[in-house]
Amino acid sequence: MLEARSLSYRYPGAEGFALEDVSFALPAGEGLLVAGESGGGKSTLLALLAGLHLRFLKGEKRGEVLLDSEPCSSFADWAARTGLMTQNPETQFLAGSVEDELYLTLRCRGISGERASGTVEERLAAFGIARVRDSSVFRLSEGQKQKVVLASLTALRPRALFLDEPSANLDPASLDELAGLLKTVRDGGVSLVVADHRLYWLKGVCSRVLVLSRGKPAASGDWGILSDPCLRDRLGLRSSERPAQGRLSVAFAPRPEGQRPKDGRREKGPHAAGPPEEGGNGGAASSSGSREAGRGEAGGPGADFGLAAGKDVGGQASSLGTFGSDAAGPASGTRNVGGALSSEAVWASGDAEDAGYAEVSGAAGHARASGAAGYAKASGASGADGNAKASGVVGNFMASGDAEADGAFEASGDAEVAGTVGCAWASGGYRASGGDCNEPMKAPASSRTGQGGVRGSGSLGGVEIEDLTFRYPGGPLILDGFSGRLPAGKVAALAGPSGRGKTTLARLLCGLEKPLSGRILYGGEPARAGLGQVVLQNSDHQLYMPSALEEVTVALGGKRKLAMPRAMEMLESFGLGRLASRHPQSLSGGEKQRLVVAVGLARPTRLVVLDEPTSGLDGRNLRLMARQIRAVAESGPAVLVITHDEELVGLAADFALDLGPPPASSGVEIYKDVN
Amino acid sequence: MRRLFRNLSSGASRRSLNLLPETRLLLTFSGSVLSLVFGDPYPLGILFAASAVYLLCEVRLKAVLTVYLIAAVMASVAVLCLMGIISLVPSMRSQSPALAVLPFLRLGISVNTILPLAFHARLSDLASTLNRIRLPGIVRLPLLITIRFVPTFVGDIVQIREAVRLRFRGRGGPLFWAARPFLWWRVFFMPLVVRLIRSADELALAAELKGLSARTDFGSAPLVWAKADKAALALSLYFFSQSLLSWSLYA
Repeated sequence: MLEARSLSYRYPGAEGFALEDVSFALPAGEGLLVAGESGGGKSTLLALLAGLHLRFLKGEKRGEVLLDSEPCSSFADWAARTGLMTQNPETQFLAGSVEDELYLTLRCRGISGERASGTVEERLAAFGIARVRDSSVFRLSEGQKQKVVLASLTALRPRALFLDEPSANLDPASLDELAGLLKTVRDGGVSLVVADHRLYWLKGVCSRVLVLSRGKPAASGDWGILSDPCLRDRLGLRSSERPAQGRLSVAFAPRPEGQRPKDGRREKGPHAAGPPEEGGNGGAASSSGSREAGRGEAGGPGADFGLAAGKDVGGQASSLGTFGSDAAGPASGTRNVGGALSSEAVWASGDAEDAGYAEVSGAAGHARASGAAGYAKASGASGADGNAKASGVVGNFMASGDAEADGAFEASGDAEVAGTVGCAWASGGYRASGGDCNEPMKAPASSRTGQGGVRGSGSLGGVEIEDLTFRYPGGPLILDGFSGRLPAGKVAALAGPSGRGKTTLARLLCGLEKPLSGRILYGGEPARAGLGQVVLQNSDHQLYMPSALEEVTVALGGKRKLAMPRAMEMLESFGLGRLASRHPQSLSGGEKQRLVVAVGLARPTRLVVLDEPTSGLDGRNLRLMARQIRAVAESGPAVLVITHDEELVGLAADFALDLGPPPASSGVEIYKDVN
Repeated sequence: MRRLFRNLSSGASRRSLNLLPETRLLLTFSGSVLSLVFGDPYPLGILFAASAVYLLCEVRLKAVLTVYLIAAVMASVAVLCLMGIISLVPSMRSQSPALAVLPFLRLGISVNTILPLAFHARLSDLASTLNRIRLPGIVRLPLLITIRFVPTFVGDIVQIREAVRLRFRGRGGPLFWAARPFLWWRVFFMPLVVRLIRSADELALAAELKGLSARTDFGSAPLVWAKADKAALALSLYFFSQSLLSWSLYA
């Protein structure tokens, strides 16, 4: 029996308790799921259960932990009776090879050489890892690493086992396998405590559930409590049921154009059609609209007060946004279309949580627009001095000259604008616009006034993969004639078993590796470093600035003063606004994960590859991340998400790719239409 | 760099002489001691060449060249700093320019002998060997952890370099970084320091959870020298004697 009695813990220097008054009693042979939002205290609880406070944690601990009625008082003794598997199993390895790791674990506990060798053989067979016995532990797949750790932990026959997010990087098949192994371990009389965000796979493993929220127990009971959607939503939990999967035999099944995604965001792009709709009122402002790319626009010459423009977006009229009119103050839109017009506005911003659309028209001076996701427009009216800036959180445009613009934009004044992908058009005033194009383009300022609907030409090429073959020197063939297509503006999920070569494909796509044969084309252009952006799994290596805000600011590039407000908006959109001044390395795992993704999405690119972006994220942040990924795609580039997270695939992906069993031969197999 | 790590840490497919840990340890220890004893470039050159052959037998050529390239960059930075100091303090000028090579030869010998030990020796065998030679636990444990730390260190460098390459997409050439030393410091050195601290903590936690301590007894199985070990020891003896000879002649 494992017991926790009024367990509380405060980290050194922290004001509040990270864990407060947690109690439970878990009989031997039962499993307890510890769920809750990121930073809710799950890992802290597991650390205390594993006795780390006796040796490593230097904070204030209250309450006690008992195993078979004996309190946790000596770390060496406690560690011999329990086992802890951390989120990253690689950090638990001491030895270099699988067999050596198991053998060393047993020898460290004083088991004789002969007996240890016998146990090693038995564990290798029980966990199905005998064929990798001589392999380096650093070269194993995530699933194999977890098996090695579990094999070494169970070899010591612990009375209680604690697992911290074991599903973080596992594919569905490995999850099922792990669940089976854990059931066997549990049935052997071990008290099992598992902290995880992915819940459904633990249904048959853990009969009891404890949900933590801000360090305190928020709910507890049997598995049934997780079927309450209100509770899951309130506590930021994921689904307790396995996401449904279908199967398609078609080679490629993109989302039909113009169809709205499930979450209600608008679809945008060059295929939407409809008459322009005019909106707006007030003051001396005028508006003009166009229906290019399914978006209307409005802007006008100077006025003393604000104007929000109505839009017809993707065939659905959106509402007026909140608008501001302070001469020097901010204005913000909070709906699909937020517009503001100010004669002397310092800045105006649209916080378009759904559509990611915001615009501002400044009659003169400095105007800036920012959208939460992908589309923003700034326009100075006739006679403006051109100091206008537009920025979308997902920036795919660059501008140079007197105006700086990012995102789908309009910039005014004597601006030269270079757009890479996406849409921009001109209406009124002095305009410069980049258009849908495969090549960065420079568009000289236009002198036309009052006209809308001038749109760049060209089309988004996406990424073509043709007969790709690759192997690492001396290694087996990883890709063999792999072909596929990643269309611009779509989210593809790349599935496949751990170690199959998903990250290798990402490296090839971004020009970091050279294929043995075949080619990758970005709209007809060969792949090279710089055309694609990869966001890696391990966030520790990718963060180096003194604050989260600096991290995104540097990633945005350009003038620091101009980049910083936009960086702040990006942080807000990823739910990191309140942590802007924190050192990135001091953030929790989930927070770091979101920051790294924000950094990766900051710069313009044609292909975004995200490697396990939701590993370690709770339900709330999973949905937030899914929204951001969709917004990125809608702003132009192709998006490839390498993930084992079926919930993310369901929320964000247009289609899924499967590398299939090795060696890949015919390439892409679509196994799921998430629409 | 990634290939370097792959080459160094690759499992069954890796090149190896299959030497006993005792042999590897002996080669590492004697190479390090002799490199400290010798104070002339010629004997150290012989030792370096012999140890380089040993490394090449254990690790692929590309990986060896990469390691040397990194060492050469470090040496270049050190030489530049030295030149700067000498220009400010002329009295520090060495009497013989050849002597300036000595630290780099010593570094090279250490790298050549420690890499095969760190990447190819089984830790349990190594622990058993250290037990056999009756090394006190207080020395044995740090030695084991230090050797174990080498692959982790190389792995961290690989991952950080990878992250930098991705972040600065195609702009990360030598000239780019030479013009931005502060940025290099920020993007490479700082994460490396953070990672090293984290890795050290993680390794300590792993060791503690496994119950590895100075008192851990790994036993000592009877030692049986294989032909490869005998040949390696005989060859190393030959090279050591040549170094000694050249040292006496050179002196």
